[in-house]
Amino acid sequence: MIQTLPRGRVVMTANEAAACAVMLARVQAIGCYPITPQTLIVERLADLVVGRDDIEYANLESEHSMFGYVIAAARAGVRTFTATSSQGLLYAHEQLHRASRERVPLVVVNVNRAVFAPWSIEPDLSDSMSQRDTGWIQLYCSSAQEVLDSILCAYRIAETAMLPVLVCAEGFLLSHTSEVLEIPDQDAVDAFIPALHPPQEWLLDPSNPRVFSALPEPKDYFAFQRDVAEALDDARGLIETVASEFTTHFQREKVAALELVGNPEADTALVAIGTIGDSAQELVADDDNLLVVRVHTYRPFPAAELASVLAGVSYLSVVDRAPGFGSLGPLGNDVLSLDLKRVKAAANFIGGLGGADVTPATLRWALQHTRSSTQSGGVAPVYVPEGV
Amino acid sequence: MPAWLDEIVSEDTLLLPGHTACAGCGPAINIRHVLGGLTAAAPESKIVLVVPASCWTIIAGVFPVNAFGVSVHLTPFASAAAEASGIKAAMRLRGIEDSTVVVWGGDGSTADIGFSGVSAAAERNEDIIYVLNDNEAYMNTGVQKSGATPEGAWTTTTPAGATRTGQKKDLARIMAAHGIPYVATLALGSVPMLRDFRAKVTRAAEVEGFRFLHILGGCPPGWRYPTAQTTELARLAVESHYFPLCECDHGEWRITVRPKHPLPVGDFLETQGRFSHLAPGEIDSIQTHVDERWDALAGLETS
Amino acid sequence: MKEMLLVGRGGEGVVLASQILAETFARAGFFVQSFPEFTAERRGAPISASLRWDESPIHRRYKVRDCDVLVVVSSSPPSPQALAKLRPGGLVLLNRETRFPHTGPFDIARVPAARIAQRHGILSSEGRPMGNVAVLGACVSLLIPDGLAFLEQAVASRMGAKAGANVAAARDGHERCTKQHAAAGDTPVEAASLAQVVRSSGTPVFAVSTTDSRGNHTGTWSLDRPLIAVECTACGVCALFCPEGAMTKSDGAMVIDYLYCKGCGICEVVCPVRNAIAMEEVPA
Repeated sequence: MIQTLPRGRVVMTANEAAACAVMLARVQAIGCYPITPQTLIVERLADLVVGRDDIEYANLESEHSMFGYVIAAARAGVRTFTATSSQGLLYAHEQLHRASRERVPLVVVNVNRAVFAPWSIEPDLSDSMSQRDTGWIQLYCSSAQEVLDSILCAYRIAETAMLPVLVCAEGFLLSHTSEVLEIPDQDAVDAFIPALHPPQEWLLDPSNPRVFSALPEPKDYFAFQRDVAEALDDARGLIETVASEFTTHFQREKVAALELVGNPEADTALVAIGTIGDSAQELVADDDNLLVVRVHTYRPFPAAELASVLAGVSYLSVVDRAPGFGSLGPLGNDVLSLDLKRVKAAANFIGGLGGADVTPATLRWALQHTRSSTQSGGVAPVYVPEGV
Repeated sequence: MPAWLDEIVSEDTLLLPGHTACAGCGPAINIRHVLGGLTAAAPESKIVLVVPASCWTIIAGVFPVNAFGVSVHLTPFASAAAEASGIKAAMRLRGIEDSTVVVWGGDGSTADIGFSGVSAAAERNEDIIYVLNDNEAYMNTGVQKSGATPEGAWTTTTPAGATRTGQKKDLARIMAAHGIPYVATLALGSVPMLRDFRAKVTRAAEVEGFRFLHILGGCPPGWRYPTAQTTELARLAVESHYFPLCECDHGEWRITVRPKHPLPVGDFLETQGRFSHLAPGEIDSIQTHVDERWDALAGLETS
Repeated sequence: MKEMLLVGRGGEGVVLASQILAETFARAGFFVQSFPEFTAERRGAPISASLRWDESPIHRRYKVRDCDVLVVVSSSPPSPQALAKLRPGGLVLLNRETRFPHTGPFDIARVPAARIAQRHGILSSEGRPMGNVAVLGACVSLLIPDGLAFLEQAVASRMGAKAGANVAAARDGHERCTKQHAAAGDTPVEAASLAQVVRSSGTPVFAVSTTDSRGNHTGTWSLDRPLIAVECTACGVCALFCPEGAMTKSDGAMVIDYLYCKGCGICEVVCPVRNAIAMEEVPA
């Protein structure tokens, strides 16, 4: 049992980094249910909370109950955390819809894993991408450092916007990969994340009897949903502000919506998400006519920013790590629906499912495929063939 | 009139008039005495009611109307026990010691879809009161069979001719098997039954840890009887041994109301349209099961 | 296309009536839509069902907002809110024996449906006459020429073992429907008083309910109501078992708050004193 929180420059996995971030953020109530490859986060937290009477740690019997537990604890006024993967996130699906519509400021880590059937515990983004319409802010990370930093930012974002945030990190590629990162001091984190003060009118206060989330008339129900949509739209600016404050405060660059690498004037662009977006950076070394765009904030979707970044691009490749059954992949759908007038050829590639590797060679193949194509809109995604 | 009754008559009702339960709703009477009993036992303690999907989602009030004098946290069907645990945890963390977190869950939520959550909260011995508000079917959706629907009963998913086979889950014994500090069965059919009911609510308020109250409540449209008969049916259920009133206090079982002259179960069944299709042989079979359950309970009491 | 609203209370067979009528229109060669209110039905609480019929296919996919025909299945009079949904020149059909004051620019017809149901032994589990099918007989006489046979077929197909008495009730309703004409002394209803309540504040951000339910007068649901007689000893037992919290003890006497009493009758059953409480029909 390790009870001390490491500090400074360390070598650790994204799972361990997530546990550190949760402790640094002074989380009060933690819900736990095991699932590979997330489990190490809640195991690490279980050690860290021993003897802490200012933290409640509950072993629930399912992810559905686990999300219910943190939603209720948050509604009753405390900062919460939980983590899950794959089937667990899917099992909690109705709670995801409910958390955003009920304006619960949760922070949850999803360690991305492929979904059954057939069984796989290896990474892809099918689990969280298929939750994109549940009203959560979704941040996709590409390093252990970014997982830690994004969790710290997520509490600021969630508690200001009164919306839940899902911090996504691919299983094994991040969760079980040890790498170098910086862990900030507790004082610095305390100065960055203020104490939780949810709006009084929203807070469950036993001495002020009210009914929460009761059935409304259709017009009121409609208004509540529209409010969620507007809050998500407004969160774009907030995410930008928090990232910029983070960069100043911790003296470490924090990506807000998009990370750009390569030539901003290039006529070829590759848009990717998660670790594929990181691997793609290798390509710019020998291709000075390439811009790599890594999407960090997937919801709210940075449509305007992307449209501006891609405005001069002629050849556009969008790479998904989740299937687009019956349509394009999720990222492909979003990006190719932008109004990009200069694009001559565009394609949506789907690779890396169930832990299949996506290497620079795969991405070069994809770029070549797009450049030789004349298709400017996506009618069907291209499933990356084996061996490229 | 005895003083204890006068005190109850003068209590403020925490289910407010103007609520939208059906006329003659048994659970509407029951919840008044649960909330009233908890408040009388611990006047300083603030009640938080946790309500999974059920008739009570609507009875609580159409937004922005509030039909309760206590806080009400509405939850999806399956997660009430976990959410009550979360609220209690938050209360501890915020230093709010005088809170009573009460789940008011229907039989569908408790016996079926939320059962694993109830069982897990009991196994963690969460400091909450879980009330099973049992009207023996999914009534809010229009009378469908649940795990607490009795054998022989008509529902829309067990129509006459294919009525419910198998036995209603014995939730009180199932929950007592978790080793929780307090389990009781309650029903309101007469003044003596009210005394028993309120004593159990008071006991639940005194005990710490997971407390489970299984309350039978008549549903006129779902059981198919005239609205005026709600309390009378509760009385017949108890006096026929159909629904024995008992408790298990820290492992000690006790039958708390022992009818002097038990009625045949047919007296209870014949009052309700949901059993009107039963042949005499089927009623005999139900009687056998009622007798077996009573004997088993009596055996627990003496062991 | 014509649109109809059927209004009544939970438990009176309003939704079933709309389905039978839809089937009747369909058998008579019309295209139809029939749907219940999009809410949970509560026994005794106001409920409505909607019907559209046309000679061509119907493409409207939204709730009926105002109607050409208002059918009141209950024997109690229609609410001002229900009447306000009737288009000028429309028709109201009432389950009623006596004249209803003419209150607007619409026609009124009536049928003694409750009496017809009583005669045929068509009763609810509470023993109340179920006038829904007799009302349909009247509806068909007003709306579908030569439609009675179709109604009889629809009743037979929908009501199984209970069809016999209901077919007879439908025939009686068809025969005993009368239209009434305006008379001196009928006063038109002010349109302004029918306006829907609009929330004064802006769009709420959180669905948190704070308005006390005591503004919601559920006493309007009741068909019967308890009366306290001089024999009452004010023992308070009725108050212990009232699901509504509508009975209280004040100055040594029991008081019933009819604003909330839904008329379930439990108080009469639990009362230990002979003749202290009696149920009576709520006066119209």
